[in-house]
This record gives sequence, C-alpha cells and structure tokens, in this order.
Amino acid sequence: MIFVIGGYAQGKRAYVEREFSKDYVIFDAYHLQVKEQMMHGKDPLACAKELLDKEKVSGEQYIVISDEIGYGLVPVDKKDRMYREENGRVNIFFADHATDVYRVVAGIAQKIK
Amino acid sequence: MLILITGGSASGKSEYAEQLVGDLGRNAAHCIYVATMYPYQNGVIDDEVKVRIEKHRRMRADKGFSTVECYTDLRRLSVGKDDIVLLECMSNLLANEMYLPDGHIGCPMGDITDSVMEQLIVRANQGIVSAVCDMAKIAKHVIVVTNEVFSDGCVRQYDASTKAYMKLLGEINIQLAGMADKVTEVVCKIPVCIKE
Repeated sequence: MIFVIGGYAQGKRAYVEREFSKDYVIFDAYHLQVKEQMMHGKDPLACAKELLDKEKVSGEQYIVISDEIGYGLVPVDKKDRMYREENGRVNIFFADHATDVYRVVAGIAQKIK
Repeated sequence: MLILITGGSASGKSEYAEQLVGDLGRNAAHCIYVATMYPYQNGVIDDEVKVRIEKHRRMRADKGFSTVECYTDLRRLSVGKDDIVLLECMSNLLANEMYLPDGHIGCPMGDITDSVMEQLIVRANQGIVSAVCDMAKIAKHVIVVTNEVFSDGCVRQYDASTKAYMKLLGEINIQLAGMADKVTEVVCKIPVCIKE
C-alpha cells in the first residue's frame, strides 16, 4: 500500500495520477469514507484493517489518499472531535502498514516514509 | 530566482523570509517589501490590522526595505533587474482580489458551479500567478510568502465562497511552487525544505 496525505486542495490526486501507473487501485478522499463509516456505526480502524487485508488477498496494489485534518483547533462538536480522532488513528494505521508515505504541500510531494 | 515560503499562522514565516532576503545579498536601495494587508474596514482603519501592520513594520524597520502597498493588481508594480521583491502575503492578496470592490477575481454569491470555479482559477492565474511569474523574470529575486490554511479539517463546514477561496489559494500555491526554484515550509520557525 502507498499512502498519500496532505491538506485540502494541495493536488494530492493529481500527483498520484501523474506519478503512478494506472495499475494501482486508488482510494481518493479516504477521510470522507472514515466519516461515512462512523455515521453507519462502523469502527473505522476495523474497516481500515479490512481494506489492507483485501489488498493482500487481491494481489493488487492500493494507493490511499487522505486529507490531513488535525491542524486546527479542537472542534466544538463532539462528533467532529471523534471524527478527527478516528481519522488520525486510521492515518497512523495506514502509514504504519504502507511501504511508502507521501505528504503533498503546494502540489509537491515529499516521501516521509 | 523565485522562492515560495509557506507555513501556518504565526509560524515565523515573515521573520524567515526577511532573513532570507538579507542572506540573498540585500542592497538597501533595491529591496521592495510588497505589503498586501488591507487595513480598512468600512473606510476606517481596523485596530487589529493596524497593530499587526505596526508589528511587521517594526520587525523590518532596520532591514532596509522600501515598502510598497499593493492590495490588488500586482501588475501595477514596476520592478527593476536588481530588485529583491518580498511579497507578503498571498493569502491577503487573494482575499483582496476576491472581496474588495476593485478586486479582479471577485466572488459570486451562492453556489459555485465547476464552470464558475474554472473561471475564477483562470482569473487567479492571469491576475496573480502570471503577474508573479513576470515579476520574477525581471527582478533579481522574488520571494512570495503564502499561508497553510488547508489542514484544519473544517472545509465541509465553510460556505461556498470560503471553499472557493481555499481552492484558489491551493491552486495558486501549486502553480507558484511548480515554477519556484525553492519552496520552504516554516514550522515553528524551522525552515523545512519542500523543493530545492
């Protein structure tokens, strides 16, 4: 798995489409999936593990793209706080299991793992 | 040389940028500080902005800059081949171009469709990105300070106009970073190299 993070509107998807072959399976805006999972009462970390297992079984290579959302003030709303926390944990999980991690700032990717 | 400096609020971007100008072989006669922060609110000077501006003026008081105020339309600035230009900062300039009456980008009310967004991007590229690019072709060095406002996780809660502003600032940063010789992110006053 390759994991790509960065802020909103930083050109993460464009970077992936430019730099990687079409053989990869791309999961874009994964942070929104985390939100969706929570809305449906699912455990995002368990879902992340499922995705990783699915990749192993399929023999395909996944690229997961997700927003960094943890740089602001603590959200007032409890749901938002939980979402930010869960998303951070999921990001750590993916980064931990990914072979490569890229962080995109102003369209430029840095390999941080 | 075109240099882009980014970083969060109060991360020490300005101090780093001003120091960088010094390191690049500053010549007092040729050092232009382009101030973009618009200080007026309903025709009178806003106190909070005034305090910020004063703080920045003090910071660069003995650094030999000549200050040029430019709230909109960068192309009005004339620069010479020996000039070092420090533009501070892109987030203010873009806000002015979108929200001031004489701004060149403007911002439509209500929902912003993809085609309207594309038009805004074209205007931002013409009015800001290519203006910086032209300036960098003439001047000795152009240093642009911009702002990291993309990772607070609140994007979905912002209104359409604020989202458009963030998309445009993101796009401008991507374009400038692509052309820049050097891109630095300042984190707690520590310069982190993004591109060199």
